Amino acid sequence: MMRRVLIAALVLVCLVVFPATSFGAKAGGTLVYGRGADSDALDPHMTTSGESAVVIVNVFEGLVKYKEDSTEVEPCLATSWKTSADGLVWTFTLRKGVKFHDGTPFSAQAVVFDLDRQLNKENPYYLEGKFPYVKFTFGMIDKYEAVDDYTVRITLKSKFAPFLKNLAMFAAAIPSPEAVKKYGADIFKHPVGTGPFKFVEWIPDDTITLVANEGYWGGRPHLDKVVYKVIPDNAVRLMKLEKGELDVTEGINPNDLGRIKANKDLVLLEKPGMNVGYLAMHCQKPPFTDKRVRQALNYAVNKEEICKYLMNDQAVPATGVVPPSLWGYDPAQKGYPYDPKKAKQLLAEAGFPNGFKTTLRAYTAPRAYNPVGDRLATAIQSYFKEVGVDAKIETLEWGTYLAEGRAGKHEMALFGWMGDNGDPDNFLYVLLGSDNFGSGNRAFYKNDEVDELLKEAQQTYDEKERLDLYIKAQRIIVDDAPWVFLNHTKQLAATRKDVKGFALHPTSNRFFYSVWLDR
Amino acid sequence: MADRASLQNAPARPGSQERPFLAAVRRFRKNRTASMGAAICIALALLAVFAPLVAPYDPVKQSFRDQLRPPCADHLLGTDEFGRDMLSRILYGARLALLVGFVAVSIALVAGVALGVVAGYFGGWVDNVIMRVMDVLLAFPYILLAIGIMAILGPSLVNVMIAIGIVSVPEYARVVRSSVLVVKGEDFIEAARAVGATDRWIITKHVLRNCLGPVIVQATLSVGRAIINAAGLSFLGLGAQPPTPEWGSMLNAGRPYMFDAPWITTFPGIAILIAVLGFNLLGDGLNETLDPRLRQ
Repeated sequence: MMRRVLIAALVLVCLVVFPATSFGAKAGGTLVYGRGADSDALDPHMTTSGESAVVIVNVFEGLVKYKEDSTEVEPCLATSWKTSADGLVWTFTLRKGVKFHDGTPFSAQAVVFDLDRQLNKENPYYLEGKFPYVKFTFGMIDKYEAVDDYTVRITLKSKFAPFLKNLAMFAAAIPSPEAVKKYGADIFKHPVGTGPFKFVEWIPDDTITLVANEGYWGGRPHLDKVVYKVIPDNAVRLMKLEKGELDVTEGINPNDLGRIKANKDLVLLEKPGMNVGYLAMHCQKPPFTDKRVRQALNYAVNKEEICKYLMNDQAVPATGVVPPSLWGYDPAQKGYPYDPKKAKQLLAEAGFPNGFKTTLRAYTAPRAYNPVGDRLATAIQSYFKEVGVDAKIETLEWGTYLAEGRAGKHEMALFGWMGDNGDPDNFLYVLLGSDNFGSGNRAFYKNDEVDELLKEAQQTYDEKERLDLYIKAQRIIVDDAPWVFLNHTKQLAATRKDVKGFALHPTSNRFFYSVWLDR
Repeated sequence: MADRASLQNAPARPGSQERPFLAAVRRFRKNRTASMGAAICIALALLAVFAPLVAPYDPVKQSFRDQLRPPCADHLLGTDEFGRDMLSRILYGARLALLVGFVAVSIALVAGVALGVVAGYFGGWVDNVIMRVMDVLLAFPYILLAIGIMAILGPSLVNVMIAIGIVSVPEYARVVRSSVLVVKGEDFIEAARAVGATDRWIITKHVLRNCLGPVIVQATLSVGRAIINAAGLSFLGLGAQPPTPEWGSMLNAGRPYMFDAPWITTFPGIAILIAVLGFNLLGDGLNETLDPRLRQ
């Protein structure tokens, strides 16, 4: 009897210890992630900043999440969902036994509380003007209710095809209702979610520290600790990576790529980005009211040269709006190849045989969709000059630049867009729908046919039909040429060689759950 | 400032200008510092004026296929990230540097001298008001004040000249005022007054002429500083807008390429150094030749 107990005990011990040790090879360690700027708020609903999102997605989770390698959606805090026949009522079945980091159990009430906090102005935790994304993520929601502890029913005002993708965005992640009650308006400094990492501390403009959530429902992450470190200068950050003070860095100067590739201790990760860089021409201001002028300027710019030489192959030329990495891209679209002769001819037809004078607005610092900052404007200016268009460059500070861009004070201005939810609607409707004049549509482009196609696509749940609508809309848009279509940048990151499992997600979010250190 | 203050004792010799002027030229030519400064400045001016003839390429012509070439036979100082010839850009940059230097100094000179003369000559509350305003301007760090003015005016090369001009006004006002105070007490001013000369006549015929020495020195020295400050403002993105080949903005543009294409930053830096050195040497030389105390 005693032997049996002993054997049973031994087996039990083995069962407990063995998986732990095989797992132990990957477990442990601190990962230091270097980046150019700090987060602004760590509540999922209180920010639009990508730098906040990279922290939020590791602390919080939503009802659904993106697959590891694409923007397709898979279950997360909801295990399954159903749509009613009219496409308006969505019923989600929730995962059981999940706890927030503060111990609060996750339930349908938590989901409803969080939606109410954002959508109901009467809710005591509603914060006026503090939820910048809510109109985009949840604007189409009419009603929400907890059917029972683990079932949530959401009713939409009208059919909205990208709804599920919105739910997978960082901005739709769900914080602990008890934390929201405890911290009130300060909740953005105290992130409490259900995710694989728990928040420890935030030293502004320096570091944010997370530790492993031992009780994570999907099993503990490999890393013990993740530190987000702010180092503004790209070159300095790379030097710290070379010295081993950082494990991962993003924001790399195009001309430093060779140096990273030559370094045996570093790995360069590359992936097509979900973004577009463009030069918006104000379609309501002459001479850009004339389609031929806009097309001419598209032919005048050599995007291949810009991508290859100026951006050092960090980008691919754009032939349209939707990037090649995204569903909704039109491979048959050839865009505008470099053809200065045709540009001159079109300008002459439009009544500008000797070109014209205009201003070209630019911002100084590099951005994710433009790794070279105002150099891009210099290059474009030079191409324009060759077809007789004399563009004066005006550089403005980023805040003013955006405000004046929204107000439409520019003639031509450089802009770009990083996709939020991996849906073409998020590019085409947001950037070129006439409902979004100023806010997203900085070319002030209006084409009734395009507007109709985009609205129809929002209400079409059939993927194939939707794709057809988007391709049709894009062909019209490219022909109308409200932008000079410039480039789609690649996502780039450099890691130390011993960082394993780190992947670049199309949304530019970074998930540290399956990352481990081979040390 | 000590050497300039000493100029207060410059003897005033109205009426006999020809001979001291020649003597000054003779002293200037003998002075090594001065001649070297003058040589640099003249060379710089010639290169700037004849830049279109000397420069091998169009300074704003972009040619990506030639980007980031190190110095070679085709491109003596290499090319930048747009494939533009650095030598041509630096030569055209000399035009802008000199233009900014002279225009900024002229603005400061005219305003500063006028204020200084008025303050020094009339004294009393006029003096007080003018000089206290100048003190306030002086209390701001030079470049910070210039950045502030640029923020109001907006980024452009013309505004850089205005900003640097405004910022330099107090120095001229001070130098001129102190010279005026000395000159004012001289006998010949008394004499002129006694004969019934008007203030205007006294100021233009006597006072201004006798302040000329220190003002010339101050102006020459501040051309160099105006050049370096203009480059600084352009480096910060406040001055020349692309693709203007301005030295400061060239320096800034080359920053990300410092490791693999150091020539983009090195040569504009050297150009700034030489220009500023030239004007400083010239200024010091002038000071030595014009200041009676430093004469042997």
